[in-house]
Amino acid sequence: MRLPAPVVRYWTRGISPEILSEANYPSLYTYRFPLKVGLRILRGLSRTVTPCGRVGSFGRTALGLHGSALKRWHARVWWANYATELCKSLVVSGKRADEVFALLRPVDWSPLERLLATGNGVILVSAHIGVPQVVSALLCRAGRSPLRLNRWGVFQHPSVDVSQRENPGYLTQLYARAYYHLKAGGIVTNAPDGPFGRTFAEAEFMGRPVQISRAAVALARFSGASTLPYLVRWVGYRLSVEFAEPIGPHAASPEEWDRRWIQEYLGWMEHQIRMYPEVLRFALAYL
Amino acid sequence: MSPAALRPDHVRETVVEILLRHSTSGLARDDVADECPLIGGGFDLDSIALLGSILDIERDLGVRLREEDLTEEALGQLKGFVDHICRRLSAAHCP
Repeated sequence: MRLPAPVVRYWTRGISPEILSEANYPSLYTYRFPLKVGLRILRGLSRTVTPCGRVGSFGRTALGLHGSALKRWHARVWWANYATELCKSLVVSGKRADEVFALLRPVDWSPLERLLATGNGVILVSAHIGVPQVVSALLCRAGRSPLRLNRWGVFQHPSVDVSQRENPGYLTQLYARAYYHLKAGGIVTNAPDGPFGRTFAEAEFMGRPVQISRAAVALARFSGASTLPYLVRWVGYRLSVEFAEPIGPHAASPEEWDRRWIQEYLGWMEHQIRMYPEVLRFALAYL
Repeated sequence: MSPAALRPDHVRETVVEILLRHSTSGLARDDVADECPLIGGGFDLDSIALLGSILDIERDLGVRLREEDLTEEALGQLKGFVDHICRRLSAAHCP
């Protein structure tokens, strides 16, 4: 399929380098096609993109990529960004979620099941990388709706009144509820990366100093629940749900507990970003 | 727990003390009113402070709160929150 040259120029030079912008025209355009076709259109476009902007700069400085290696890496980042946005809109709208689920490799839920079998709840952390909405959608379908620590209304636990989500205290209240949800053996999902909230810890990420919200780590410490990092990442045109080793609980002082939790979490995220260009999305805001 | 500990004024006093300990809003004890919100003004607790307060309240008052107790309505004003805890205490001690 050929797109008009001005459109391609606009997408690939004018907007795409600032991958974090709200401008999401490539995925909006491909929304009209069957998902598998849309993904291939995006792949073709990605090969025409010249690395520049913050993404290109990150590839050069943080990953040490140049020349054709940088171009190949950038094409994968570019493609995955819009492929992910496309999948996210299909899953969240609910109308064409099955097209996304059809891309999923078989999911091994045993890491989550093993933790839940202990009777304690589990904090599933994804970071703003990959396609984490897929896991929340799958859990909802399985009748295991998670309590989601964000302002999104979709895939939220039915006990939460999402009509209140614009209220200033909504997230604060959700964190307190999450504690009891975990104590009752429930699942809580969260993406703790990024400078959100009011209380931060200083940490190092990709060789740079960053701030991370203390709320998620405090919830984990107070509740004693295990934290299970997971990632929904692209493998070719398929999606793979992968769980990491659980974090904590640690028998340590609160300060040490927090430090270890943050170190393990950010270490996991950094590893994913270095290994798989496709997961570099929102995390770029951190860099 | 002694009957005196179940009295609403004792519960209120304990709750206020705990909330002030966790709050960073600078709210003075003399300025605490029944209408003070716990979050988004008044005590202005963030998520960590609210969690810490709830755990201290459970420990000091011997009450077990539940997830459904922590609605925005329950946390909207000090009086409503204290009333909520009193009801939980009464239910626990006078079933």
